[in-house]
Amino acid sequence: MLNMYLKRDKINIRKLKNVYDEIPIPAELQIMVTAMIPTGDVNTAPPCRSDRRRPFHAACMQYVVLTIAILVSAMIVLPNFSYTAYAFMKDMPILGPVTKVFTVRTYEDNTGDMSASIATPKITAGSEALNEELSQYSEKAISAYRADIAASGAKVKESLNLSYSVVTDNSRLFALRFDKTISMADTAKTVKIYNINKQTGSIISLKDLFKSGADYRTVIAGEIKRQMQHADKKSGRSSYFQNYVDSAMKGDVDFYIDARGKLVIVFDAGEVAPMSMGICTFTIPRNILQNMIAAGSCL
Amino acid sequence: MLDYFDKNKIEELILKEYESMYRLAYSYVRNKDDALDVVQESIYKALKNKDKLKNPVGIRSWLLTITVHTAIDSIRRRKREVPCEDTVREDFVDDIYEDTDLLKALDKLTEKEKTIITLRFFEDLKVKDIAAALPMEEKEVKNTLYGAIKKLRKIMN
Repeated sequence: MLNMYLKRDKINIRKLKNVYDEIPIPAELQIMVTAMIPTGDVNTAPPCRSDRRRPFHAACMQYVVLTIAILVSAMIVLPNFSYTAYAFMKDMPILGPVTKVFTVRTYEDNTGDMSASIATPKITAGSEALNEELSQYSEKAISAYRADIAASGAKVKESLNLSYSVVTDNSRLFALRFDKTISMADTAKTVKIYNINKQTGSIISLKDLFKSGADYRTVIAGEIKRQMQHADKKSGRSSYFQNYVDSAMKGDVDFYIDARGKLVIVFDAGEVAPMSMGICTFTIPRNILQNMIAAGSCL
Repeated sequence: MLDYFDKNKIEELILKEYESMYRLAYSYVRNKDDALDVVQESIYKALKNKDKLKNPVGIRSWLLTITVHTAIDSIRRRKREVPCEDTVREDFVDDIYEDTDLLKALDKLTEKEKTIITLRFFEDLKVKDIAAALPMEEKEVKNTLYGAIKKLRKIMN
């Protein structure tokens, strides 16, 4: 009898389950649970009701700030007093918990009808190779701009802007996003994201997050197409280029991991949707990737 | 492999299932902070009461049922509290998951129906485990399930 109902009603149940499975998991949850479990201290009562009216993450923040203060103090004092501590600490993550980025160079130009503003960032405590890679990305944009001036004699209206922003900065990952906008007859927006493993200081690619041989590209492409269908259905228009997703996923995919620990795939304007829709981002639910995530992955 | 009937594995189970506990809590309270509170209180209750757990109740269904009951208590408590303007939290603004409209269909069910639908279909618990954890007769769980599915059909179609 139950099976009969399920056949008739499975679409409704599946719809509800999809929404349920995609309820976002906040980053504080893991901190809270792991803080409760290792001690197993069941004699410690939970916070009283009046305390619990305050958001849990606000309560957590107190401990986080206190812990950071203790850690920073320990990092300064210990290596100066103990060789063992110094020997241990020199193997600590290359990029610290607080990573800063600053602009080392801004290229500004106005030649004829053409203009450019290109920022070159530098990551504090980043390796020379890493900062060189960032610098080269900006240099390429400058070279391409100069080539355009030479080719057109600066008689074509063109405006180039390259800026950067930090999209992820947590204990394991640091992600720097470049946004390049070239305005000519049309406006082309492209994105380049550098994800850096703080432990090693190296740049990580999408494949580094997954087990060797895992077909993560197909799974992610399927999810993106599902989200496109959902969005198109909601808007009543057919905006996205679903047929382009597979080929876009085969190339060098830009991504970052958001504050909730979810994978976000980023496409340039025009790559999987009309240029007018700008940069397109898709957040991939963790549960569909669960079996493919590599051990020790930053995801 | 985690033994779902070994109550000494409760800590291990919590570490494995806390995301399910959160989703379950969120499906009731519909905001992040209250859902975090519900998970926190549920873990506390589970650790404190694990020795009272009697076989053959599976610990997963037991843990998820604690979460459901704690979430329902939290909603009842919230209804009793009279909100004062100063205490309205600004972080609620970005705290609301936009797709909860569909989940609101579940609110039209009774508490018992919603709990059984959620545990059976979203958390994949077996009818006999739900019956043991609530506790109820298996037949009653099945009948409630049929009624809830019929109601959902009317609500969603």
